[in-house]
Amino acid sequence: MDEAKRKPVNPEEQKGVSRRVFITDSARGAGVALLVGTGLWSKAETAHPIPLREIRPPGALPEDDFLGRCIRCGLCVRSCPYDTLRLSRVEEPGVVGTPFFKAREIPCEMCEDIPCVKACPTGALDKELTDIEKAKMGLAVLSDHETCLNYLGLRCEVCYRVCPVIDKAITLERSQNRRTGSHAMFIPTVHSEHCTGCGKCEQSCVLTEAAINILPISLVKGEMGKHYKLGWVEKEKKGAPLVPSILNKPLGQWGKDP
Amino acid sequence: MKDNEPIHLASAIVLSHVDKVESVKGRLASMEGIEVHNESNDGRIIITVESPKYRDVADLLLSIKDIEGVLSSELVYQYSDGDKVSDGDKAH
Amino acid sequence: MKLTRREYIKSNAIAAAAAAAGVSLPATKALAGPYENGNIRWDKAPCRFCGTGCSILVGTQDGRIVATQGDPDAPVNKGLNCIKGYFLSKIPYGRDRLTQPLLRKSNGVYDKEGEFTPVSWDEAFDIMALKWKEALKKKGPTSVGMFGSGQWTVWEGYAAAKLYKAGFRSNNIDPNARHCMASAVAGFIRTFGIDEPMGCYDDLDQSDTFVLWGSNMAEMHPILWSRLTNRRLSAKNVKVVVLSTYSHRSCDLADTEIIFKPQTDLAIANYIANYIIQNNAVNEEFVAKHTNFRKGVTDIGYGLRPDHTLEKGASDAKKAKASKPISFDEYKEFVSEYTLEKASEISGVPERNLEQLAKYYADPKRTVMSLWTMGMNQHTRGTWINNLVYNIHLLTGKISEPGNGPFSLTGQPSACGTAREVGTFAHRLPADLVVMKKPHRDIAEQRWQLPEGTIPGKPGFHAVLQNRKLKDGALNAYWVMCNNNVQAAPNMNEETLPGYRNPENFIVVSDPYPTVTAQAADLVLPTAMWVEKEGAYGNAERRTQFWRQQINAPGEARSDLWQLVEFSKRFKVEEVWPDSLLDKKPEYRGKTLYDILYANGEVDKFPLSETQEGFENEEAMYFGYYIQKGLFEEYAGFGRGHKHDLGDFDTYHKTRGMRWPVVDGKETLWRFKEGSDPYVKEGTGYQFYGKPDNRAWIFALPYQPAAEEPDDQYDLWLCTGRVLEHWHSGSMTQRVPELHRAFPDAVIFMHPEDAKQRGLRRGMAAKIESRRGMITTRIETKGRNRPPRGLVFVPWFDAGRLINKLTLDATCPISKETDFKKCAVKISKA
Repeated sequence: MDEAKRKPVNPEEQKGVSRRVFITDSARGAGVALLVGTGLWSKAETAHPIPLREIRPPGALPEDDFLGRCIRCGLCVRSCPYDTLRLSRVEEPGVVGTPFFKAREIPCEMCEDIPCVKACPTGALDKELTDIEKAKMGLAVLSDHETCLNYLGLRCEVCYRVCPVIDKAITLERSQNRRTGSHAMFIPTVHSEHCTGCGKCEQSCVLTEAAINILPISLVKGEMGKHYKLGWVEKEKKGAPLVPSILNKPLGQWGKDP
Repeated sequence: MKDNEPIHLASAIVLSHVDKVESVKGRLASMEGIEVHNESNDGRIIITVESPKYRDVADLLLSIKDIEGVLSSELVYQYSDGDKVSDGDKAH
Repeated sequence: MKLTRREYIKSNAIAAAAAAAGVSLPATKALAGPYENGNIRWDKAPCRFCGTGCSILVGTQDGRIVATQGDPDAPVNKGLNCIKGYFLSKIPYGRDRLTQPLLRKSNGVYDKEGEFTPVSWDEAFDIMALKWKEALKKKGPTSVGMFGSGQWTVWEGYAAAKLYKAGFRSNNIDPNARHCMASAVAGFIRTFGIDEPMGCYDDLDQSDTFVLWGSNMAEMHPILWSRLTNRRLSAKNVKVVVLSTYSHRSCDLADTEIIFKPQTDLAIANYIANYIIQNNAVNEEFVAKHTNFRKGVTDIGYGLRPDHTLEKGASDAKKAKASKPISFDEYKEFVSEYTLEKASEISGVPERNLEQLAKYYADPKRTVMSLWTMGMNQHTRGTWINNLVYNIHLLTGKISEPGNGPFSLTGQPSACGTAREVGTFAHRLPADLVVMKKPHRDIAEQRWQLPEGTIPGKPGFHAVLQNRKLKDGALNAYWVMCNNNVQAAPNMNEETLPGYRNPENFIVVSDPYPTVTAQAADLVLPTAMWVEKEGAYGNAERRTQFWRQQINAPGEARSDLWQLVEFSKRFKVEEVWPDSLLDKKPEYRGKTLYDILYANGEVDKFPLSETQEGFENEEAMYFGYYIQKGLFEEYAGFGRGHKHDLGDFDTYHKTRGMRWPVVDGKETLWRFKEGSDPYVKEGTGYQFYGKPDNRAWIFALPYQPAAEEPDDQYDLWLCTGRVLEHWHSGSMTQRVPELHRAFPDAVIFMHPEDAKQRGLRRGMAAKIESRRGMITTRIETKGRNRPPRGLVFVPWFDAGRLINKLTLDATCPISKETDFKKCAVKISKA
C-alpha cells in the first residue's frame, strides 16, 4: 500500500501532526510488528514521540518501557467494559497496535477492579496498580483561561462535578468577580497529586473545543530542584520547627507595651 | 467594489521617518487601492491594500518601498479568495 | 451594525496589523465581530429555566436564535449565566421538535390504543371539544381538568385559570408548582396571610449569616449562590450553615455542615426556638407588638388515599390547617421539650453544631437569612417546617429588613409570577383570593363580568388528587400543558400512568417536545416555547420580567395562549353553563366562551397598533388585538390597590423587571416594614397586613416521623432531586448535546460502605426498588453528592430511568405537596 496516498480516517484527528511525523511513525510501527514476530522486541524502540493526545491505559509503564513490554495483544482492550480503550491503527499517530484512549471521546471510567491491568500478560500495565485512584494516565490541565466559562464568572464547573476524585483532584477555588462586584468565581483547579488522568473532565467540557485537556504528565509537570525545600511543608511534616532551639517569642518593640 | 467580486486584500505596517509621516501618508493615500487607517507616534502607519487582482496587490506592496521617507514595509495579513490562488498564497 | 463580508475581512486585516504594530484603533473598528454579527438583533428575555430569573439578551438573525448572552446590566445576574443558561440558544432546536398535532388513530379514526397520526388543528380541537362536552354532559364540571405550570407566562396562566374557573366552571386546574412551592405558599399564608417572600436578592449581598434549610443552591440556584459566595468571601465574619440529609456541593462553602436524619428538621427548628427563649434572645417588643401564638392540630395524616392505613386513624386530616390561639407561655412550654440533647438524639446531629446554629439566630448583632427550596417544601410536614422557620425569625424580629429574613427560593421561572400570583391552583384566584370565600368569588365574578355563582366554591383536585381521580375515572377530559407530569409526579406506575391510559379518559398534552407525558397522551399539541411568543415571568424576589416574541415557532406549533383562547371558541355558553346561571345574564345567550372570557371589552381593548413595531406577535395578529396586554391589564386590576400592585404593561417592556408591589412606579424591596413598604402605616414599625390585626402567627407544631421510613425489608432512604446541568425532567436540556454529555444518565449516589455491603462497586449496574416500582442504573460512590450511610440520592431528569416509579404519593396534608425526598427503598445487584 502506498503510505503517502492513504487518507486519515478522520482528518480532525490529524490536526497538529505533520505529515512527515505521521508517515515515519507508521513505518516504525510496521517495523516493530515485524520485530515482535522475530522475538527481538525488547530492544526495538529507542526514540519515539510521546503520543500527545492519546492516553495510555491505567498503570502503563513509562512510555519507553511500555513500548518495550507491550506485545500488542489487545487483551486490555477486550477487558474494558466501557469501550474506552482501543488499539492504535496504522493510519493513526500512535505506535501501531498499542492501546490508548481519547479522553474527549470515551474517557476512562476508573473501574475499581481495573480489569485492563489484570488482563495485561506482560506487565506493560503495572500489576502494582491496585487502587485506581493512584493511576497516573496523564494530567488534566485547564489550559485555556480565556474561554473557560468559570474564568468568565459563569456557573459551569462541569469538569469539577464529573471528576471521580472530586474535591481532591479538582477543587473549586473561590474568588470575587470584580467585574460584577456582587458575584463569586468558582475556578476549577487541578491537583496533580490526585488527578488520575481519567479524562472525564475533558470529555464533558461543554465548550466546542475543550478548555481542560489531559496531557502527558512529563509534558506538563514542572519539577523543583532538590536543593530547595519548602519551609512550611517541612515544618508540617515534622510537626515541629526544624530548629527547635530558635526562640519563638515576640521581641519587645519600642512604642508598644510589653 | 461589489461584494461578489474576488477579494485580494492585505494589511501592512509601513515604517516611515518620523519627520516624513505626513508626506508618506499623503503619497500612500493617493495610490489606487491603498487605504491609510492609523498610525503610531513613532512613524508606523497601518494600511490596507486591496484590488480585484492578486497581482496588483503584490505590485502595490512592492512599490511602497520606493516612496521617499519609507524605511520599510511589512506585510501582516493577507487574504485572497480568487480563482488563481493556491493554498500557499493564503498567509493568515 | 451591518458588515459585508469584505468589510469583515478588511477589519480583521486592520486589526491584525494594528496588533502587530502595537497601535490602538478606534473602538468601532477594533470591535467589529464576525460579519454574521452585522444583522443580529438583540433583545431581552428572562432565562427559561429556574426561579432565579437571570436576564438574557437574545440574538436573532433571519428568524433564528444565533446567540445569547447574559445581560451585563441586569441586577440579578450582571451578564452571568449558569451552564443551562449558556445553552439557551439551543433549546428550541432539538431535532425531534413537535411541529403538528398528533392524534392516536386506528383506521383513520380516534382510538386510544391507536398510533400517533398527524392531524390539523381543526381536527385536534374537534375531537377535544367533543370529549370535553361529553364529559361535561355526563358528569359535570368536575370531570374536566387541567395540569398547568409555573413555566407558563403570566397571561397563559391567567387565560387558563379563567377558562377553567369561569368558563368550564371547574376548579380542577392545578400547576406543577404544586410539586414545588405549595408548602411555601401554605406556610406564607398560614403565618403571614399573604404569599411570597418579604425580602429580595439584595439580602444576599448584605446578610451576615446564611442558613440553608434543605436547598442545594450551589447547583439549583447557581447565580444566586455565586452572590452568596461573594458575600461570604468579601465580608468579615460572614457564616454559612448548610442543613441537609446528605452532603452536596453547597456544603463546600459551609462553616457548619449539618447532616440530619430525614424529617428531623422539625425537631431542629423547635430546638432553635427553645434556645432563643431559654437564652433570653426573644425580641420581646417585636413579639408583643407584631405576633400572635397558635397551636396547630397534629393528627393530620400524610395526604395518602383515604383507605391507606396511615389515613384511617388521622382524626384531623379533614381540617389539617386548623389551629387555636395560645399564649407565649404555652408556646414556651411546648418547645421546651426540644432540648439540645433531644434535638441531637432525634436528628443525629452533634450537639455543638446545633448549638452553633442556634447561637447565630439568637445573636442580636447578627443578621440572618434563611433559604430553602425543595428540602423543606417537598415534605409531608412541609407547611409546618415553613411555619417553624418563620417562628425563629419572628421570635428574634429578624425579618423584613436588609440581610434579615426568611427567603423561600422558587424552583420555576414563574412559579411566583404565574402559578401563585395569577392563581392557577385548584383553590386560588388572582392576587391571593381563594375560591372557598364567597366575597373573593364575588370580586372575581364582578371583574370578569360573570353572573353571580359562576365560580364554584369548592376547591378543585390538586396535582396528586388529579392523578388519583383520573385513575378512578372521575376526571375524564384532561389537558396537560407546559409540564411533564408523568415523569414528575410520584408513584408513576400505581397512580399516574393508570389514569392516563384509563379507557374512560381523554388526555391532551401540549409540549414542544415528545416527552414521557406526551407519549402517554391521546392527543399531542405542538407548542411554541420561550421567545417564540410574547411573555412575562415573575421570579423568586417578586420581580416581574417581560419579553417580546423574537422568533417564530416551527411548523404549526402554537403558543399555550393561542391554544387556550382558540379552544374556548368551540364552546357555546349553553353547552357549559346551566340555564339558572344564564338567566342572571341573558345577554350572554348564544355567545361562545371566547366572547365571554376574552372578547369581553377588557381583554380585547388594546389595538394592534400598541404592539411593538419590528417584532412579531402571532397571537395578537391572529385574534386582532393586543391580547397579552389586555389579559395582563385585566389581571393586574385584581392586585392594584390591594397589596399586589403590578406596574404598567408598557413599562415592563422597557425595564429589567420590577418587584411588586409597584406603587407610584416604585418597586418594593422589603415588605411589611415601615419605610420600605408603601402599605405599612407610619408609626407602626411593622405590619403583617395579610392578617386582619397585622400580626404574624408563631406556631406550636411538633416533630413527627415521615410517612414511610426504612425498615428491614426496604432499608434505605431515597431522596430525589435535580442536578445543575439539567432543568427538571430534562425535556429541554437533555436535547442539548453538551449538557447531555455532561450528565447523561441518572445514577444512584450512595455511600461506598453501603455499596460494599451489597456487593456493589462504583460503576456497577444496580436495581433500586421500592414497594411501588423498580429501576436499574449505575452506582456512584464518588460523585458530587455524598449521602451518609442509609440514604441514597437519585436525580429525576432522566427519561430513561424514571425514579418516580419508586416515590410515594404522600403529601403534606395542608399544602398537598408531595414528599419526593423520603421513601424507603432497597438496592441490589442488577
